[in-house]
Amino acid sequence: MRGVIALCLTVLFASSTMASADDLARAEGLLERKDYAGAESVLREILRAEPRNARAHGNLALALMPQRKLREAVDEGRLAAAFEPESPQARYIYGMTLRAADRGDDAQREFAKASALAPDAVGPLDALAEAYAAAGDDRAIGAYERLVSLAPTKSRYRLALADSLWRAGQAEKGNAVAAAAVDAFDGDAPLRTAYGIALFDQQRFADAAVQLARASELGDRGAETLGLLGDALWQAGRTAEAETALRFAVARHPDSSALRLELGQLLLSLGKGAAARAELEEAARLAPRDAAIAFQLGRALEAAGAPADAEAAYRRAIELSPNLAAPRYALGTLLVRQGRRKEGEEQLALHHTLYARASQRIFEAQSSHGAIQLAESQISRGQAGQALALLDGFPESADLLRARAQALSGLGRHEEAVAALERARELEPDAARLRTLLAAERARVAKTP
Amino acid sequence: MMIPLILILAASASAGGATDCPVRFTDVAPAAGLAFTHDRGRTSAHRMAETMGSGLAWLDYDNDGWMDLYVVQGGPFPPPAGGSPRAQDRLFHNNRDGTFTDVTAKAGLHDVAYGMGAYAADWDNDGWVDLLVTNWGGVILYRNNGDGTFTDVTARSGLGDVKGFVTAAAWGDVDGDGRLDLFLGRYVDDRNEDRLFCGDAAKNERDYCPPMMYPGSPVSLFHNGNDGAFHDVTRAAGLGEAEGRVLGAVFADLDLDGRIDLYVANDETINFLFHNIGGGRFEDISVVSGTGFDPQGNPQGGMGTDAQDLDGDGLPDLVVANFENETNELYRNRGSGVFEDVSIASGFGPPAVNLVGFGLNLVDLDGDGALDAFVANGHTFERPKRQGVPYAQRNLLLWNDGSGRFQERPCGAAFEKPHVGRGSAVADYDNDGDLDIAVSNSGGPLQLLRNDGGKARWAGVQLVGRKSNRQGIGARLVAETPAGRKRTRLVVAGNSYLSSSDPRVVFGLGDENAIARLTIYWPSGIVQTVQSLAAGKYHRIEETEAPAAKP
Repeated sequence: MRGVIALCLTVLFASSTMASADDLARAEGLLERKDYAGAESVLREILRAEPRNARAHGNLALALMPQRKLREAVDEGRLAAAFEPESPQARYIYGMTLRAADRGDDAQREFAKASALAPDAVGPLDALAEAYAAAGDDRAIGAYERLVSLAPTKSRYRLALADSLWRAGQAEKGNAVAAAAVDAFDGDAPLRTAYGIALFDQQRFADAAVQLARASELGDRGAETLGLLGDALWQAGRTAEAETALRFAVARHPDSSALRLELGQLLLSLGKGAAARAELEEAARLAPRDAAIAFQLGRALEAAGAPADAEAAYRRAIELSPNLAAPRYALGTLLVRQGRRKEGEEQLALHHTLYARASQRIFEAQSSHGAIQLAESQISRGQAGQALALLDGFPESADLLRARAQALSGLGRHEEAVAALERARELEPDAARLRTLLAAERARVAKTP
Repeated sequence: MMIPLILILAASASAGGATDCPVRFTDVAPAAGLAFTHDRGRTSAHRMAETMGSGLAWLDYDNDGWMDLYVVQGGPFPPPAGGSPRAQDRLFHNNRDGTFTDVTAKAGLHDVAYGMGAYAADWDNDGWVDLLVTNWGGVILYRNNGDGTFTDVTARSGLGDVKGFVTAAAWGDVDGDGRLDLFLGRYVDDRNEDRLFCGDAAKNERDYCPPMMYPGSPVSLFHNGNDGAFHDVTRAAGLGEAEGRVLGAVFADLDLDGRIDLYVANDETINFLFHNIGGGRFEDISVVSGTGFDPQGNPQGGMGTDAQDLDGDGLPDLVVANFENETNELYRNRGSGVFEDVSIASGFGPPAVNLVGFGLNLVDLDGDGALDAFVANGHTFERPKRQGVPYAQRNLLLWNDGSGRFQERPCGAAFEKPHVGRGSAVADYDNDGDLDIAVSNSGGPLQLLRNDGGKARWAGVQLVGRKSNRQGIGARLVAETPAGRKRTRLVVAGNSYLSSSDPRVVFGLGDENAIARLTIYWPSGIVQTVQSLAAGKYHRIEETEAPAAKP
């Protein structure tokens, strides 16, 4: 917030000449010192004398936001923008108040106006790019490209640009941006880590390992980074190196049950049952209520030739998470092999029920996904009617409703599209992209005669 | 001082190393006249069937004692009505000199459908091996006329109505009546495939869809009647509820009760183990047997499968080749229909993690008496997402130390060149006592990997059933060497991926010079013992209840 306020105060409002310069400067000084209540008091005094002073309204909005007086802050921001509609600062502050009030679409609109009024100002463009990114809007790419050119020494913008490209499905372009960034900012460990995580998510495990190892060399020895490095090496089939990396990680973070779980699973996959048992027993001591650890410990105990202990571990995992299928299967098969067939069959029957349900869910989700993708492809080729027909008969989901809305929109049936998107938002209220699409569709309804 | 992690990793990376291959293999397909390139009919629509590749079958169709080779072709997809010349399967006659001649037309074979698998067996017990071909859309059953030609008897045998995406098949005498019955598996139900899109929708760039995007398909069991026809007994046999995504199947008597059981490998779906309870009926023990899933209870991408005794305890074990990021699975038979997944501990599974396995054969390649494993690998996606996992992949050879522990060893140039491997089948095509491997590669050339090793001694057995089916399919053979080593082999017709192998059994004897005693457990229930089988030759053994005689 301090940075934002300082940024806003660097450019004067046109209306500031009308106010008592001393009082405004005093209020801005209080804002900089984070005396928001004091600033509010001074600014209200100014506004009593000069109610149309946009700079005072803007500063008051900035003073109200940290005090969580968001409704008043939005009102003040709106007044600042109303009294000086061509002021990028007023638009920018108004946008910030809207963003703080969780009105992302309105905030994005104001940031866009501010950025258009001051194309070379980093602050509004930064906010606009963030708003696009949060909404899953591919215009974030262009905004971050502009930011990279305006502030070439800031690695953050390059990473954000790469991230926008990755999110837009442009993996290779994103990787090229990130690769250039890590070359340009060689000592930037967080940048390496972020790039490594992205590569891991793309299943480029060997490349991810390179970036994560370098991040570690540069000082990122966090448990997550080291654990991911180990996992990347494992996934790349370099199991000896993975074991070394995970042992290193565990040595650095001996209290991390997650790292010990990862190491234990790797050791199990390498047939090192006794070593896996040691790691997983310690993990279970650190996280006694973690069902996944209890289950893997059971596997290690079985591999180490301790079936009675393994049975206890599986039962513990089931107790902690009754709907976890894996320990029921492991326990069931263990009991059957021990000749306790009836007991085993009970566990296996429960596993099979869970498996059958999961299998049906996967089939429904995947077949629906395939149809949605085909519909999207048809919509992009102007075949909205075919797309709409295709989507009939699949189980309702937010994605399906989104595709249906896009097809309806393509057919000019905007009110139905709005209804579909509203239903989609009920299913996934936090999906930013749905919010953006809904706003756009409502705008189309409003424009429809 | 802290040692940089990168140095620690570099040091650990240098650990380990491979040991030499016991034998060498040479791809002799071109030199042997096996001119065949699989046509997978790739289209921009990226239909699932295009990824399947196909299989092959070794069969001695002219009874000259030399194994011939039938190779299944894909062709254009979707296949045009009436088929396409591009889809013509091929029969290669063994010239007994290491070469083959294409005799497809002469033999009257005309399968021009989009092909999947080939399964050879003498289903009519006339002494001439017949052939079943599975296709996308149905099957073709050929009857061997005994004069070098075949007749299509699909319709009159009752198999003309078989529909669907038919993939794996297996022959076995389910009810012990002396006639071979037929299991047919289907892959996914792709009838509504044009309602799916995988890939980049925004760019309209298609890729292949995953199997779980499609509904599964039913399996079928046909009883071989005494009327020359097959009768659908799926429901009566207790298989009516089974819906799978079948890519592999094998009949084997897994609990040694004298009745063949059925194991089925499914893609991304629970594998099936059907226990034969007699009377032509099965019970589903997929889950309770421990052979349905991986050790964590997850289904895997099952492709090829096989069944043989790998650890010398006399009980047939089960293996399955799986998709990438999964081990290949080895289920060790603990008796009474109970198995233990020992994929990790045995070393069988881990080498396959970054490979996509299809063909899988358990075969003693170095003649030491222990069954090794061959795996044909190749991805289904042309551009696999996982870094370092290519479309064309190397094949695997895993060597068994005799106790059921496996180790991969590099085995020469034939195993270094990557292919998109699919069906694989084993035969001693040159009758030299070591076993060779034919591999069908999706969209690529056929390979014949000639086994050039082998100083080990061997003895071969060709069964001739009388009360049992003519080839003794389903029989269990237990050989005991003079030194007291016991080796168990099953005779199967249909295993690996979409393929069937040489029905003769070759026992590797190491440095021993004979089989002291061979016990044959015929499908009819007859137990026959034969003494003193000399090394270095094939022994033809007819089924008899009479006291053992020297062959």
